[in-house]
Amino acid sequence: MLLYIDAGTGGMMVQVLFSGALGFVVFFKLAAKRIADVLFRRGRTTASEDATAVADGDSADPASDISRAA
Amino acid sequence: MVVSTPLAFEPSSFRDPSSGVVLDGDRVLRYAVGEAGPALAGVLAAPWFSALIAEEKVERTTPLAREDAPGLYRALPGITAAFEHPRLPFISYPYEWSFEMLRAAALLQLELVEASFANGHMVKDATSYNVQFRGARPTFIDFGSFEPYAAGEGWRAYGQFCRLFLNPLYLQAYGGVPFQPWLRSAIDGLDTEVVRRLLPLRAKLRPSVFVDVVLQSMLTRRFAANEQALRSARERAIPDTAVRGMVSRARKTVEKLPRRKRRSAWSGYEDDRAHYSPAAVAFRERFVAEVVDRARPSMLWDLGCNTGRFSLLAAKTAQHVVAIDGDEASIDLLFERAREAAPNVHPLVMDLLNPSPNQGWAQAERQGLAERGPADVVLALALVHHIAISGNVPLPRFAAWLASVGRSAIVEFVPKADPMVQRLLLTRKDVYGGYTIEAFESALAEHWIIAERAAVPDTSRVLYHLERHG
Repeated sequence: MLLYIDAGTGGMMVQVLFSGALGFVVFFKLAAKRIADVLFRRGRTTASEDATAVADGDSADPASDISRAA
Repeated sequence: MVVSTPLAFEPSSFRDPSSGVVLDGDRVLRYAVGEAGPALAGVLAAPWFSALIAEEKVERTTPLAREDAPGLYRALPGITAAFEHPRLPFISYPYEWSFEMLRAAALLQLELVEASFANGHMVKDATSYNVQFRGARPTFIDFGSFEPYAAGEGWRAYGQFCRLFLNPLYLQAYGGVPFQPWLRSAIDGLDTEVVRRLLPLRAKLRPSVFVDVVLQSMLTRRFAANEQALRSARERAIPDTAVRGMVSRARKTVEKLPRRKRRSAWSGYEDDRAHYSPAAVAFRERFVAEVVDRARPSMLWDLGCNTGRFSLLAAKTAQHVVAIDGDEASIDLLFERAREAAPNVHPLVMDLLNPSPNQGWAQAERQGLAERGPADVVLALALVHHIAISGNVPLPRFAAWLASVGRSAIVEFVPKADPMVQRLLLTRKDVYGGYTIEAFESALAEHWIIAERAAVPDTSRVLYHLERHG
């Protein structure tokens, strides 16, 4: 059923992820990738740097943008 | 019953195509169209839902027969059911709530999801605007949100719950950033990607934040452009155990969120009160109590209420009190006190130098502060110096604004000689030559009649009881 609210791509995917055993494998893989990403590639990031990135127009949720425009 | 036509649709009730609200004078009428009509009638008849109404978790709802609302049925083709709700004394918005108020609203939302899911139903959305406060008690107002649960559908409102409840709470609990200004400018709630960027690394490593913010944000970026994956996710049946697990995890998360900022410069103001002698304290209380006793107001606003000493005092006589202060920590303290001692006090976080505006769709969806008034009585004790000196608002403008939000007022003038004004002047050049009691009384004269005037003992302050012209 089509909802009048936007479930959000991430919101839908989190549920799918948690709805099966396979989900946990994917979850831990993503978690490990994220931690490695944070520790080895990006280093520690400050909130102000991130806020600047947002202000510079780094995209948020393209799906949400599309739904709002629609 | 005759419903006046044309119908006055409630300006924020238009997003749900299956149900909406119409205002008829003081009455609040809800209509449902198509399949939603019989479904909502079924919800209303169910014992689990009656229990929620009896426990005052959901606003009281009464079915309206076709012959009781002929105007509504005539004006709305496709209508299949009509209901009536009691009117709320005051509408407030999540960007005007303190941390604990938003937490209380979130827990109510989750409780309703759990109760409905346990009985074959679901709350189809999860917006904090569907929760209101009757005084200090949260209540769910959108009866149209309840619907029979379609097997496998999952908790589709999870994303919205994150944007409008969890993300603001995370931002304040783990980022130390007050959520109100962010929520005020983002009426759909705080985007998960933005919150991910604002939270410190330490917060992101918490399992709950990792799932709700980091993981959700990663999955959004990974799959937003993948139409096939989205279709597949949409068609995937979500087991009931996963739904129960997600809702229960969200509830535990919200319950355990730390409240970081317990005291601010102002939250200890009333308790310290070094600037008032016992005689001055007693005099101010007596003055306010006597005026409020005589007025017996239905609605009283306490502007600049601090931790609500006078709000609680006025609540003994006034039917409803809305207590407003810009200091979030003070309002949180008042919320806790009101929940225990004065359920008719509705605390509100708002900077009176920049009150909530009309906003949302067509600038009519969410009302500004003045549009929700005027109150019968307005208290503005030790407020004028903050407006006139901290905010550089000329005294005539303050007097005019006060007259737009209250029919009568109790105002305390704090002159320049007062230690609190002197403290304000420590960090700014004194360009306030016009800030005198004579100028204040002259500014009042255009809009107000001074009914009473009394000097506060042991201070240079003066209390006024004002009645608006006309």
